[in-house]
Amino acid sequence: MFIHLKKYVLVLVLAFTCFDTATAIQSSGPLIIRGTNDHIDQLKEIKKGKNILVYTVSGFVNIETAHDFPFLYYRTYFKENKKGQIPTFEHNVNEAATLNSGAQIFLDLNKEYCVEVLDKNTDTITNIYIIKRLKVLPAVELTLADKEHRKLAPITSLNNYTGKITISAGETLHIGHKKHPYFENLEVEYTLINLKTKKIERKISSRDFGQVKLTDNTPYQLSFNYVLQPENTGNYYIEVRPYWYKSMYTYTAILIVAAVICILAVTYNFKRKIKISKRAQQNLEQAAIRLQSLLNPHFTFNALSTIQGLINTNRIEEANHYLEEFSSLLRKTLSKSHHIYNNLDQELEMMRMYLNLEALRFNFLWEIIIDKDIKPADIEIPTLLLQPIIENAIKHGLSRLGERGKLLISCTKKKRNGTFTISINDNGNWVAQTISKGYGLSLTEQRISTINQLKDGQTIELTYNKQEGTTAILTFKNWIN
Amino acid sequence: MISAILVDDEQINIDNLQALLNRHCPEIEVVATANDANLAAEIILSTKPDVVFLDIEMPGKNGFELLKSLNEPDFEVVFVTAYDSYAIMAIRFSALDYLLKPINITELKNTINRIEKSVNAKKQNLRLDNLLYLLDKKQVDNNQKIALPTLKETFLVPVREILRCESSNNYTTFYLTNGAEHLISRPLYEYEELLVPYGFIRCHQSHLVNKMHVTSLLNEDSGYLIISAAKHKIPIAKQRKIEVKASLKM
Repeated sequence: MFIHLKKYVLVLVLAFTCFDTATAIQSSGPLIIRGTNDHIDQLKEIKKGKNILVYTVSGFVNIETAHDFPFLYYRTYFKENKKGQIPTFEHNVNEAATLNSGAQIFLDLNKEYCVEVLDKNTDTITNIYIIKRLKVLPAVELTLADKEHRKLAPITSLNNYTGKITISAGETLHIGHKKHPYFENLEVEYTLINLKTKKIERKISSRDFGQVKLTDNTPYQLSFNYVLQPENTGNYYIEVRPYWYKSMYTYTAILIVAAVICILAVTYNFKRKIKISKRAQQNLEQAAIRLQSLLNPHFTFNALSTIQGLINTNRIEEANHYLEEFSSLLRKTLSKSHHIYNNLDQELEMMRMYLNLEALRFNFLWEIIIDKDIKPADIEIPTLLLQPIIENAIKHGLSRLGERGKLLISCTKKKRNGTFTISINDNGNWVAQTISKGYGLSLTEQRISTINQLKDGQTIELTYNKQEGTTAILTFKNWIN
Repeated sequence: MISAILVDDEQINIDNLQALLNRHCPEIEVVATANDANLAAEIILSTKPDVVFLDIEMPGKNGFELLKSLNEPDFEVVFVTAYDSYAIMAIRFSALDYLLKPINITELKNTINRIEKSVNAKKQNLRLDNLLYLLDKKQVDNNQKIALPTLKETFLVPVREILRCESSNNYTTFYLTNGAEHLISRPLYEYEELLVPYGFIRCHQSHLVNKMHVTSLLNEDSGYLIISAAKHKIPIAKQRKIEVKASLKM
């Protein structure tokens, strides 16, 4: 866009005048022709033999006869201004009388009015006055008031007398016009309109409009015409560029940059959030795994101790059997230790092994009952979730009862919401306090709450019932699809 | 002969220990066994044994509760347990004996050797008191006392009065704020485990220092910790220097 400021210089000459070179002669003929106003320079007479060309700017023209020539009479007519057409002469003798009293005529732009001056005696034409209203437009010059006084050229041609130029913000513009070759002192009417605010500035001057400082990022219209010829007006549209920081491009650029930053920030944030939530998920999963007590070390060492006891009391067969049971339980729990979930089938199998081992130590009876509506192979529960609860029941409820101890584990399907329960009932009578304090149970509770965060809508709940011994009830909500 | 009582809720464990003692420690005579704390208390009062092998985890009263119920127990106790990190720390802090299940025969023999020596001294009461106090508190506290059994007697010393410990082979010398020095027949690493939670730092293979008494760090060689009151200058091992500085926030 800065190309428009190229420093080429062009003077705008807007007058449509193509005269032969001619010398101005003071009128001394039989007619005295005046403009209506007192403007001195509105007329221009050029004598070419018999023909006297009179150029006028204003529309109204007064024609008077000079009294020194009483032997003359006049014929007047408007000449059709069509090119190449021979004018038709209208002989109108009576016109002379009008002329005598001082005729006023009005000429349209570029129209010609002819007055033939004839000798009464010879009936010959002595002179022909051709009065022509010239279509003229001030030759407006726009100059930048910088050091070089660059003259500005319009971008478009001056068809329809309209031009368009663009200047930079903050530049001062000098508006003036070149003198017309014939009519040096004609007044020019300037009208400068701020197209944004509609503010109008008007000045009539025979010299110039002067310097103006135009507001940036605003279009202006400069109209100009000779005062005597208001029907012929030229226009310049002056576009003042915005300061770079106010320009649309700047705004657009800033907007784009901002948008890009926003998008990047959002994507980054989004990615980070995904990452964080992934990490949170992983953390939760790791916590869930970490919290799942493998086998309670207490149990492990006690089992080893039992085996040692069997060996040292020479019960080798039993020792072998116990060792087999224990090692296969250990193997199963280790293989599942990195999985949060395991199917109910295998879980119950592990608990059977565990109960076999514990029953050897404490001599209680036990049974696992599964509702026929439950398909243990299709249900997944947290790995080894049951173990600490069963261990607690053995430790607090059964260990003191010996052969009177009974443990019942039942899996029951509830009618609503895919819910099922696993209840662990012992016939011991343990103190309520120890329920929550039991080793491993605080971990179990933490683990349950962690798993509840992991799964949407699926929850586990651990409750106790103190009727008929003690029952720990695990309720799995929305667990069966 | 040393008379012993075995207390465990599981008969198989009693049988096991009895078999091991018969086989490896003929100087021990098992005079009675008990399957729960209440029965054990009765037997202890009636038989007055030299040593009680006491299972900690028992239904009803556990081993510690049994000890509490006895006024001034005047016998040696060997705790027997499968697993309980805190209880074992407390036992070690009080310089008492313990065995882990399943029983390691070498440890059993070592324990019996120690018991043999101290049966006559009957100095265990203080240590038991200390143990029970620790078990009650269940938290770290500088006023806590640690039992330091020397050959002659067992000292109960508040942890904060220990300036530092220095190792020489399997012995550890304790330097106290009152200028006393005690030579204990246990390796330094055992005390490192016990004392690090109380603000001690192992700055050198042979040195364990109580941070609260350190007055400055001398930047000679690979560095020294200074305890100015006692005029001690303890070397810092090169590879531990960063860790020591970080730990002292220097």
